[in-house]
Amino acid sequence: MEDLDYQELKKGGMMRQSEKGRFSVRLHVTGGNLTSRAMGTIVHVAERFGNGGIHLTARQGIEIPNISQEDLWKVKNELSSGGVSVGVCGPTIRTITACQGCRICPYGLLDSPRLAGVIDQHFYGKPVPHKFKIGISGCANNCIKAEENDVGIKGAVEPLWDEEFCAHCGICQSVCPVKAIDADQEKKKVKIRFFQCIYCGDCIQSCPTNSMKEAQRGFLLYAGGKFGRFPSIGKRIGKLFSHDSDLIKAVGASVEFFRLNGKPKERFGGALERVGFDKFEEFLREKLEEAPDGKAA
Amino acid sequence: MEKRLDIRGEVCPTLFVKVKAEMERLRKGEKLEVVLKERDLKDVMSALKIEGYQVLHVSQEGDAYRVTVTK
Repeated sequence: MEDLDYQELKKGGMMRQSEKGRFSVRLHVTGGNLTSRAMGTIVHVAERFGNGGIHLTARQGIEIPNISQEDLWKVKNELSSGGVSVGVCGPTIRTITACQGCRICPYGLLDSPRLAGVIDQHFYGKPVPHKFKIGISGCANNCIKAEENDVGIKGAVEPLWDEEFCAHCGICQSVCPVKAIDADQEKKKVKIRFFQCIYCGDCIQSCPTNSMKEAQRGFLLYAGGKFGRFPSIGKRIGKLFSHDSDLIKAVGASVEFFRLNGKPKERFGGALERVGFDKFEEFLREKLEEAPDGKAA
Repeated sequence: MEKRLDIRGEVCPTLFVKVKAEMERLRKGEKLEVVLKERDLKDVMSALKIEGYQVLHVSQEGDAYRVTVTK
């Protein structure tokens, strides 16, 4: 027991508490969703091996604190047989957070929990130079705070003006939160300035004649965000990604770039600042052009 | 005669409740003019669309929008 490697335990989601010999066991939760069966298992384990307390973490995770060192493997097995796996900590890809998404939230533009599941399958727990957090907001309201993650994803919709039935009422211009639309009621023209557009879809949802249409729906990517002692906001990288496969490639390219360029104890944003966001954008472009077999398309 | 509902002095959620209640009282083909502030435009317009009401006319006077709806 004295030979325990605390770093390895930590990577496996078992964190030493302030009190000697006790551990807080982090669980694998994706997008903040759990089944009632999993919840039952967690309650049972907390009562049997902990002190009945359950902690909700800052990033939609769950930890069961006050587990004795000698019970760690029993806890792991008990959780596993009840459909719950133990989480990760240390220099790994952490919990994928997500909002409720469009199946629950009327504002949602994408099914964030489904996407969280896909990203989780590809990346969760994988080793990286330093902790790496991924969060998914279903729309521009950004409940998950995409920009404070190493990689943040935000649901987005690109508007397209169709002049045929446009009543030139000017609602699109009025509702645009960033004033990216000029609706010229005299010349009967509507212009969208895409460099300003935040792809929120307010103009599409408000247009009384359905003349603001959905050109494409997808995701925006933000890289290099973090919180902690020195918070920084992730920067938007690339354009709108409209397919899951492109998004997976983009997240994969971010992880790969971090592995190639990152240093221990340095977050993705730090590596990007040091190496250059432009270098990363170039790397990402190349990766997106690659065919799935790794050859250039 | 066209009915009129001024919700410029209302805030969420009473604003929606008033529009919804008035729309429910409306008979098919009857029109309602809703007068609202620009800040509520997006929420009211998208709610009317989701409920399946038809917007016939929109006009603007300063900060006030007049939206004519029917069902």
